[in-house]
Amino acid sequence: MFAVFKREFLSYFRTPVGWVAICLLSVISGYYFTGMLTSTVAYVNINLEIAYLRTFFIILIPIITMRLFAEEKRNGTDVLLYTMPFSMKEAVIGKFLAAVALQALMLISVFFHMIITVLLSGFVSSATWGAIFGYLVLAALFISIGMLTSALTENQIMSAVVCFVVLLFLSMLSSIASQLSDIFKSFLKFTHLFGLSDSAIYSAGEGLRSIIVWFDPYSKTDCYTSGVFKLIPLVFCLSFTAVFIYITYRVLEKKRWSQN
Amino acid sequence: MAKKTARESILQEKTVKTMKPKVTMDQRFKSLKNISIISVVLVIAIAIVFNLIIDMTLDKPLTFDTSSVKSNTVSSMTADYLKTLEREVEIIGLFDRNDMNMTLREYFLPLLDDYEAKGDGKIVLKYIDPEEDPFILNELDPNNFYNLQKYIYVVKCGDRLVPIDPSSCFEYDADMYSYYGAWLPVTNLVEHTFTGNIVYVSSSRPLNAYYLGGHGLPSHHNMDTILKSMGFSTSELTLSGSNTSIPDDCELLMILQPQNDITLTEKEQIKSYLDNMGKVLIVNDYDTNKNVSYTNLNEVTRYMGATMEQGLLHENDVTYLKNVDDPYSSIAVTEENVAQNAFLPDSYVVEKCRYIKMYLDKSSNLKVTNLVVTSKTASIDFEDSEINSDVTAGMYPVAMLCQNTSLGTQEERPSLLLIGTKSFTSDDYYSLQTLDDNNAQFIRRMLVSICPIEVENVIVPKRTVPSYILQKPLSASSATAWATIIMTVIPLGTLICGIYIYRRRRHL
Amino acid sequence: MIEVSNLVKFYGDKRALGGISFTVNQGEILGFLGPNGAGKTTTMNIITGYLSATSGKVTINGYDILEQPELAKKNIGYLPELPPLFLDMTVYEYLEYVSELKKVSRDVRKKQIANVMQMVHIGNVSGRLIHNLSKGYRQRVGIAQTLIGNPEVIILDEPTVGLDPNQVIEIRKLISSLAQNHTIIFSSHILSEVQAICDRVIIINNGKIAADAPTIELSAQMQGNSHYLVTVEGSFSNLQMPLRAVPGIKSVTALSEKNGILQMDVMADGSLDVRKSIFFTLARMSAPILEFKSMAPSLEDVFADITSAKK
Repeated sequence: MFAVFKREFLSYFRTPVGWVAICLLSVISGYYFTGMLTSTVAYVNINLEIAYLRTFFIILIPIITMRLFAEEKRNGTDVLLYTMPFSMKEAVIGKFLAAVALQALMLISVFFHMIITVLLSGFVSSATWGAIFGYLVLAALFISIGMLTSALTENQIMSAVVCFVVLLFLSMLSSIASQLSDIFKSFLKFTHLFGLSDSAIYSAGEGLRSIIVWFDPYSKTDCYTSGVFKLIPLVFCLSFTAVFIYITYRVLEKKRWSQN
Repeated sequence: MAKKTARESILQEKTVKTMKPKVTMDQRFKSLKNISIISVVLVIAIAIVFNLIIDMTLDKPLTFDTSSVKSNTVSSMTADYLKTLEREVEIIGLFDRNDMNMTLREYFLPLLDDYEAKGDGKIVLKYIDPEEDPFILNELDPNNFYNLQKYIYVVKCGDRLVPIDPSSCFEYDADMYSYYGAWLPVTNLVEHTFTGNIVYVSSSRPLNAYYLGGHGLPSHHNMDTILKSMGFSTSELTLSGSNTSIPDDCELLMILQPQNDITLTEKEQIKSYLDNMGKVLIVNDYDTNKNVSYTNLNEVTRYMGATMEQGLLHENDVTYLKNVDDPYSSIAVTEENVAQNAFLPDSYVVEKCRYIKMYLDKSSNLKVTNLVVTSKTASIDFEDSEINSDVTAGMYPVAMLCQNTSLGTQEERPSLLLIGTKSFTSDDYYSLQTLDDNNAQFIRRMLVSICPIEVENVIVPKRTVPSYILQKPLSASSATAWATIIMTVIPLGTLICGIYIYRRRRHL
Repeated sequence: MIEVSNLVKFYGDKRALGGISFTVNQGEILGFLGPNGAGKTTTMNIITGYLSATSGKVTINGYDILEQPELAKKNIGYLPELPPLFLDMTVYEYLEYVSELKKVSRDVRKKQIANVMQMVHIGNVSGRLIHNLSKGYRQRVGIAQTLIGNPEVIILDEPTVGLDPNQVIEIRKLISSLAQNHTIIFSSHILSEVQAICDRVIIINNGKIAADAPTIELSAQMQGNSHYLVTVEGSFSNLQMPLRAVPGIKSVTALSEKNGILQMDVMADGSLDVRKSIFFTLARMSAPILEFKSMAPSLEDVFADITSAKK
């Protein structure tokens, strides 16, 4: 596991991917931070910066996960993982951890910003650490999704695009939920199915909405940014991260029994 | 031997070739496949069930407030109060919970979650976006009294409802505003506001408003509706009997368009009611009562610093007239000083307004405010021109608020709201208008301000808002310097590092 | 050492392997011979656990590749046709990574890598990026990778394909030298290469084993007939009969005849050397030899021979 982690993590920096990712995030976060710093009222709140950075997951995560398995498959180096005396689980976990480590390292510019804020007599609240924590937990979940898309295809671009679409879908989940519930409501209303009353239709629609919104990772981890620590988002993100890692493992393991 | 088998196999191959291949999977691969698929399904199911269980059991106990001033947790006072709550109170945010455009949301969402958590089922928290569900506004406020909009919270219990504008839940830094025009919150009143309003809407103590009967009380259906929407219950009160008196629970006494003067006993009773923090609303109707001289009633108004005269306001400024031919039907405006400090509409429709004016002693504790006034060029028409001839053209009041500052507290004082026209209260007026027009808004706002709702014994501390403002503001040049460092040194540093390593390795 | 029994592999409806069984004993060098698409790579991929079979069983050193993959794989070093190299790593980094994957203990890692590099002669490029290495070096790095962890069996899939003749010779030498300590399976579609290196040859055609025999035996079998390509100035009608008269020559066929230049295929009994006789016969007929080439038997010939021998 450590071998794969080490290779994967270092390979981010052997190729330009890691550097570009760090540079990109430091430009985005720097832009936001200097915006706060140079505003008429020097209102510097790192929490907001981190919340802002979360919206770039849909671009950054595919970049750092697309190569994880797709590249190996294309170059034929995945043979090593299959024919070496170790379990595919270790490879999957190693690669996952490497991507998470890169994601954490990308926050280095935010740490610089925190130091600068303190130097300039600003305020870094405990909620900032919560926000960073929430950011990383969410990143882990998305990385596991990106890794799965990478394991499903041989083409890096394809993997990145699929991952992008999935993350975009997740980020719009709450609005999709309300759209769906509206459609559901009007469907019930016009078809007179089950002969429900208006209020029953409304609560049915809302029920559907809340079920979908329950899966929204963004709103789930929102509380960390506001300075509330909750167990649920952590459990949610980590357990589904584990699920995606497990599916990735199974997808790769498929080669051992697949007939095609 | 080997030769033989090889040849046999080639023969065999020829026969196999002609057969259609039949794909049969080895049992071992089949079982691996099954294990694989079943385990994936199982893992997903376990994750969802596990999450649901945690969600249902450990969510509330394992929620911790990590903010520096504990602004995400309700204080023990609120928590204690919520325990005693008997009725269900709904808190409805009129926006999507995930809507990032909601300003200062970090001060509301977690705290209100905590209300719900500590409310033990009595506090129901909902977020409904009126753009998603357009019926919600109408459902909450069918008569559109409150002008509910997106990004407003509503606290509701039974029929009682209070809208809370999130921006009004803070005190702002005055210097910051005057120097930079920026609204910087310094004091957090979110809990203070919400707890106070929960107490109000859930209060089982009825707010009683009485109409004084026996003097030709006109129909008052619309006024009833307005009062009910504010949580008042209304009834008629007659003070003609010898042992009748104004009840202790009277929150508001209304004398609407009296057809004749009140009696002496009534006068005394009302005066003593006023002394006891009473609130009285007197509405004139000059059109029908121009010949009545209200000796006793005027004694009550004079007791509060105002008087009603036998004159009719005559609007001379054509721009203020509703109809150029009718100088008695005009548009009145909120008085300038009042307009600056109170959230009142700008203008009102006024028909046939009686001449009312201040009546103050020199050493008086009374504070009289003209709320609604005419243009600066109005005059008075008198039936009997001799009564008061020194009246000249000028600005005349349509509605006045009289308060006794020597009694009570700043929040609650004996108050008299004196209005010269029936346009603010009568069914005649509202039969042509809606209940959310400016006149109705005025009545509601004024009644709210003179009948403050007691926030019983729950006094919630105000919290300071942690300031993210730099303690020592940066000079423009140093801000630019920092910006340059942040925007160039860090990104370029990593990029140069990357290019250097990449180039070096490339030629290895 | 390796037991393969009744391997069947279907890709969808297409059969790639139709029941292959063989055993490889310790210390053997086994050549896998077959035309492209015969199923050599598929067989190797299944043996190494990279691919699944539709049915059949593979055991390595007594461990089933499906049931105890980790123990089974410990005994194998595999070089697929496309060497699994990370182009962004240096040779040393790469070998270090592989030895970590193979769980070589930390204290012997360095020494083993040095040994392996010396064995395949890549010590001089250890610090270079694999991306910048020539094909021959890359192939050697691929072989070095198989040797890490000192597995008993080394499986090489077409290790000489795409290399220039010098590199081919070097790689063949390398494989021969490895044979001293390892069991080797390697595949090729070049008959001579297999003949040169292997103790035993398995010929695969169309997913089936066509022949499984020691190299010597197979060589004898294939030497039944030898072909010569002869280009002369002259006409076929004149030259055909004198050549047929030479003892040992079985047939003469004209391949082309243009502008007085004749190209023909001469088939002779493999046990006799007829080259001298052909020369003198043609000299006698005043037909100058422009080109004279001894044709190595092609794989197709071998199959044809094996099938015809059966008849």
